[in-house]
Amino acid sequence: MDLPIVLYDRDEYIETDTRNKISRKSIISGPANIVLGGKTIVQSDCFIRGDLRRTVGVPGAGAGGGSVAVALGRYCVLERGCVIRPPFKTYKGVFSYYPVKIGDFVHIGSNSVVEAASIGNGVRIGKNVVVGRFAIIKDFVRILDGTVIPANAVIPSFSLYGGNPGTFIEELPESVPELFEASSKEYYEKFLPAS
Amino acid sequence: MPWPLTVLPKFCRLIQSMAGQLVPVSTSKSSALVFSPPQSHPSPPVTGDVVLGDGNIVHPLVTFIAHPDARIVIGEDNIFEEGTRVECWSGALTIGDGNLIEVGSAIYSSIGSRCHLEPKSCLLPDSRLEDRCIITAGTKVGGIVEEGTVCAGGTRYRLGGKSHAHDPEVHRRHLAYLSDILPRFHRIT
Repeated sequence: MDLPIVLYDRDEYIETDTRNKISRKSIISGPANIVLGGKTIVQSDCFIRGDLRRTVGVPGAGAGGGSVAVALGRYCVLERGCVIRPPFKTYKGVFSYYPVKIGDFVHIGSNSVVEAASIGNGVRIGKNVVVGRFAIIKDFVRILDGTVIPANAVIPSFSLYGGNPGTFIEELPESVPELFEASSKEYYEKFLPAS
Repeated sequence: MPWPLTVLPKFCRLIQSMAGQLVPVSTSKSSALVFSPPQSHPSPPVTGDVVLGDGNIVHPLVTFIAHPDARIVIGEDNIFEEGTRVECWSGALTIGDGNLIEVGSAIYSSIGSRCHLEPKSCLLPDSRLEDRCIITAGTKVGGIVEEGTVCAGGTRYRLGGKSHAHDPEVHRRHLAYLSDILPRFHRIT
């Protein structure tokens, strides 16, 4: 499976120390609260909300990562216009936004809205998808274009989900981990500056 | 500036619209907070005759477009999340109080109070949403939607039945949280 070379305008993207490529036209709020794993691509018009999580300790909200609001893994791709935002709820009388943890090799299609609590490794999310609040998407899942995943859903590994509301369509084959990892790495290798 | 500052009430906050008019937003307890997108982003938040009530929180990248001859009147304590678009071509578009309008919604007609529009929902032109309705994610809704309806399913069909009213206490805390946190990260227009 050969991916085409995608050329980008060299001036448009910033490349960080960890080889993340972030478009200048994307909007990253609260970058101190966002962690990108490395070799991740954030395309234009994406909006990552790192600002919504209160950094001062909130009781009952989980101490682990301190102030990380959005954590993305390695080789992730956020296509144009996606919105990643932390989900919010009231827990024991305290209103708060909770962190989003996204695994490695995750592709999120254009104009999708992701408010999940966590997304596993190797997940492919299509275009115009809405992932509801506190959804948990396990590893190696494929979500078709235009799907709406309801809030608090748990999507098991190796599944193909589609529709509104998102329902299980079929199980993905066992070759999927190798396939998705290889294609994510290849996507990154072929995302080159036009020069 | 067409408006002498002395005429305005004491805690008035002004929003500069694209046509250069100053749209006064009256404030009592807390003014509406409109957060602007960063410099590079093309569209300004407010265009035309738009009146925003107190206590609204408008995330960055929201656009309110009132075409000439149209008017948008927004009540109090609403939350407009990013990517929302409120547009009125003619007549008046009113949005009530305490609504939660989530990411990427499009609103082309009037809404009552305490509604919840989930991400990427759409309220078509020439319709009306009554109080305490819920439009689930990705749904396009037209016609008059009675109070308390839940609209689901992607395209224009409705479930009847009462929705759990969008809890005012939670909404109040949400507003307080956002008005505390967002100014630390974004410019206020």
